[in-house]
Amino acid sequence: MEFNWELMFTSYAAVFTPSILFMICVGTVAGIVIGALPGLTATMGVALLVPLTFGRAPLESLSMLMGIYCGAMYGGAISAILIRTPGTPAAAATVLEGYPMAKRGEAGRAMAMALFASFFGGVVGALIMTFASPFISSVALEFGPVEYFGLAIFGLSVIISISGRSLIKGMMSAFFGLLICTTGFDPISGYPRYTFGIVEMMEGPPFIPTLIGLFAVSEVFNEVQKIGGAQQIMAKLDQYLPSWADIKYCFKELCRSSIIGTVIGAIPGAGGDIAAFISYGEAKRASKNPERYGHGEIEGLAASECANNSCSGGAMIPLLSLGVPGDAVTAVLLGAFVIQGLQPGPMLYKEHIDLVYQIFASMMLAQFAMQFIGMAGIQLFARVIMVDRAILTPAIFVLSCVGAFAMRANVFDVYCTLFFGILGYVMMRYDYPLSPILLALILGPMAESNLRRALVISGGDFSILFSRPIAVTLMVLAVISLVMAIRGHQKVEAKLAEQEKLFNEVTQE
Amino acid sequence: MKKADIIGGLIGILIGLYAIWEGSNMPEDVVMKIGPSFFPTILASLLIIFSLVLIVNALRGKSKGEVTPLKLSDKGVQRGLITLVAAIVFCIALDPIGFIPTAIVFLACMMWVMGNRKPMLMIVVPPLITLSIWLIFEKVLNLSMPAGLLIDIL
Amino acid sequence: MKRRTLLASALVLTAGLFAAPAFAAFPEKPVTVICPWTAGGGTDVLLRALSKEAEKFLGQTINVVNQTGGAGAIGHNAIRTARPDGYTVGMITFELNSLPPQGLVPFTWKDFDPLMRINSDPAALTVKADAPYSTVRGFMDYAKAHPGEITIGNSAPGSVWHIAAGLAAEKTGVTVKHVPFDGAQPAVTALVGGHIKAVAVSVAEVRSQVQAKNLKILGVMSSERDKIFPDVPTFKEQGVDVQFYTWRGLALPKGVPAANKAKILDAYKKAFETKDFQEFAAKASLNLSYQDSAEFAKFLDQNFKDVSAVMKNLGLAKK
Repeated sequence: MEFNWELMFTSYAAVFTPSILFMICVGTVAGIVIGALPGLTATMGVALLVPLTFGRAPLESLSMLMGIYCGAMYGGAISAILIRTPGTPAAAATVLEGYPMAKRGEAGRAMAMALFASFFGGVVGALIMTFASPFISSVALEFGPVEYFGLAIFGLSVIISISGRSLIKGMMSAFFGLLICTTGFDPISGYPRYTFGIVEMMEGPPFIPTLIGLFAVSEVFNEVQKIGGAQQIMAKLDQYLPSWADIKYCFKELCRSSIIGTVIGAIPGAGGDIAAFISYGEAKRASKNPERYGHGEIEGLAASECANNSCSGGAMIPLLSLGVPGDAVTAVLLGAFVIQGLQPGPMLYKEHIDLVYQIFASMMLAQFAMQFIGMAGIQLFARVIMVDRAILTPAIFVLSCVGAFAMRANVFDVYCTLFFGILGYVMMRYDYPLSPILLALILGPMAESNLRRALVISGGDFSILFSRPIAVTLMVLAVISLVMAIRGHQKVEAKLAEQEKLFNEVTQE
Repeated sequence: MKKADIIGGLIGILIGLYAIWEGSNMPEDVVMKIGPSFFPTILASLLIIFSLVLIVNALRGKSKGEVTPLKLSDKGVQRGLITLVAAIVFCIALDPIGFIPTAIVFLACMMWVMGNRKPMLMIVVPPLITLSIWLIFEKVLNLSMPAGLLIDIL
Repeated sequence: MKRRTLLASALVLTAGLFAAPAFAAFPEKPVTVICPWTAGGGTDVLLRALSKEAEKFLGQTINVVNQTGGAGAIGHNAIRTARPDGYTVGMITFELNSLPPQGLVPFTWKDFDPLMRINSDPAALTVKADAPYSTVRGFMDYAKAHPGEITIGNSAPGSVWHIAAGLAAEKTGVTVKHVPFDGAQPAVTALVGGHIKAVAVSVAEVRSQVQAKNLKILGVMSSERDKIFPDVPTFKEQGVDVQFYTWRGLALPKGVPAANKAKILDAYKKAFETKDFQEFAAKASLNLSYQDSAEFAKFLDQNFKDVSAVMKNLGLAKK
């Protein structure tokens, strides 16, 4: 497929009309709000607003949905930074650095960086989508069960990087999380495992309620014990854009993460959550100051936010060119296309090439809309953190429960949130890191079902795992990243031990 | 932390053993010998191994970090326990009684627990928060909340 | 004495509360429709499109609520246990008949009050466009000649397409490996990428790839040929007598007053007949097949027996 410059310019002109721009902005605002609300994901947002597009012209409705998609990907970061609740699963890695920054009084700086990183990632994703779609989509089809298993293993190797101080406890968390994933129907035989006869447990742990419980509710329990009036966090709110120094400091990570994000987005079934964690792990591994990670390192925040937004551009690639959704959101978008009477895939390129380019254009404009609307919103959102803790903390709990309930309208999910909230609190207290559980929940089902699927295809022969180049490459990469992460961890520990020793000597004198 | 690590390790081992035991009752695939219990059993074994390492490390006195012991006389711990009870009551009452009344009562109670003593705030804020959440979810996004007792009014 | 008056007045009050809606014109508040599948999926989109039309005829808002999980078990159970006042309607799908034989749910379709059938889509056996066979027979012969090589993807273990593929294989006496995926879409993707040899999913789910000449349909498991691909013969025409459909319909919990049921049915039937909905269905390549309450109940009964028998033969049913 030749790139058509002329068509690109005419499609930008077509999108640059008041009505389309208005739809993009409406979508972006709705997306940011939905993304920021715990429990409401980008997928949910698009699904809820698809009915609004019934009976509208294709470009109008699709550009609104693009706005929602991009807005929600950024919106998740807002609650991740301010109240330690990833608004969407894709923002789970953002919590790791964003919340410590906010606690330090740098909410404004974190928000500005999250927005800029999202914008940067989104633009790179949209550019790659515009220029390299046909090339990337051919790679996407290479991914079969064996490759997915390799990808999952590679993703899981990040666990070391998010394990905190005790590697053993990190591994325990990870295997506990992976074990939780195996509850519910077995993906291959359909046998219900570890369900205790409860119908609600047949589909495994509900992901969103678990996520909200582990992070938001556990923090509520933590918070109520600490208040004494003086806990008020003051946020500096003088920033709309990150400082030049911050951008320069994070620039390498921004570039790396936006490419990682786009590529992972383009692989069907792997979405923003995986992209964010892998980019975060890579950023920590490559960093000169890995000991700062977990305590509010802006580079890590930039990496994860940048990756999850570039992922949306990537996920659109296989959708448009193959008719295969790249992640959960684009799976819903596929439905929206069908309602419009359009079948994404090679036929779309043949019959509606103008619309394809217009979608590229609206995706790009949605990034700019997100940046400007987000800048206007920063002041408003960051103020949340200055609300009296006696009001904010209980409100977070109520909002968490509501968010957990809303997804499937099932009270079981509320109980689940509470259970994981208590569990999360206890684990935090005894230094068991929570993020490995989350990563396990994201990647566990992918690892198991694809391993088993591969073995069904091979008839139980394990050699199939080493028969395909992409899969082997991914597994080798996983081993390398594992070894390097362990060595990095030892270095950090040595550095910290030295600092402690110095500190002890100083205090003794 | 030594005691805590040993207990944590033991819990890990128990969870692992349970998973293996339950897995042994699952049907085996006749053709491939890889059934539903294949993956969980591997994971459970690894969980047990790491739990053992944690216990051994603890016994050798290599535990990291410290925990402040929980004392019932501590104000913070008391607040934590009250919150826990309130949270459980909230979750249980949510469905039969309904979102709006439960949330208003919960918010008011928790504000008091957290040291708010301004009566005006206590009267105005909980209904305000509850109603705005309800409006966003129920009316704007069309996601239904438990109606409970108010089912015939809403 | 005092307590008794109190009790009596309370009783009268409650009775009044429950009786009131019966006197007033139904429906006097928004109606909820439960969808047992996720928002944005095929079932959900269909239900929302239909409900949007039905609102006009019902004169009330219709809220679609997605109660998902347990392979549809949770949503179906929520419909069954909803208050039977007509304010809760539900979408029932094929899984209502495949979950009970597996012993996964304590109810069958008989615990529901069927309202109408909306669509029924046949399975289509689809392979890569460059595959060395182009008929169902050819495919089965190839499978016999190359044992252990044929893998057929489906949307989930025990799902409608798993059963369909199992039934086709059983009728022709070949052994194939069934590879369950997480939904029909990933299975189709894996087929396009050449990771499996065939899928047996609905025509709508393979349509775009077939039109793009990446895949070809060998046959459809229905009594008539497909409207979009009239060139593709049915299984029966090729000498393999297999018919297998998935279906979707509306149902109420048992015990809804007849007057309320009639109003809901009327609104949805009119919505079904609107030009907009028919156009939507054509775009989404759904095979609409309306049946009224009585026919639908008869269909459900027969379908339940058929599915149970097939699942038992395939070893999917609980022993």
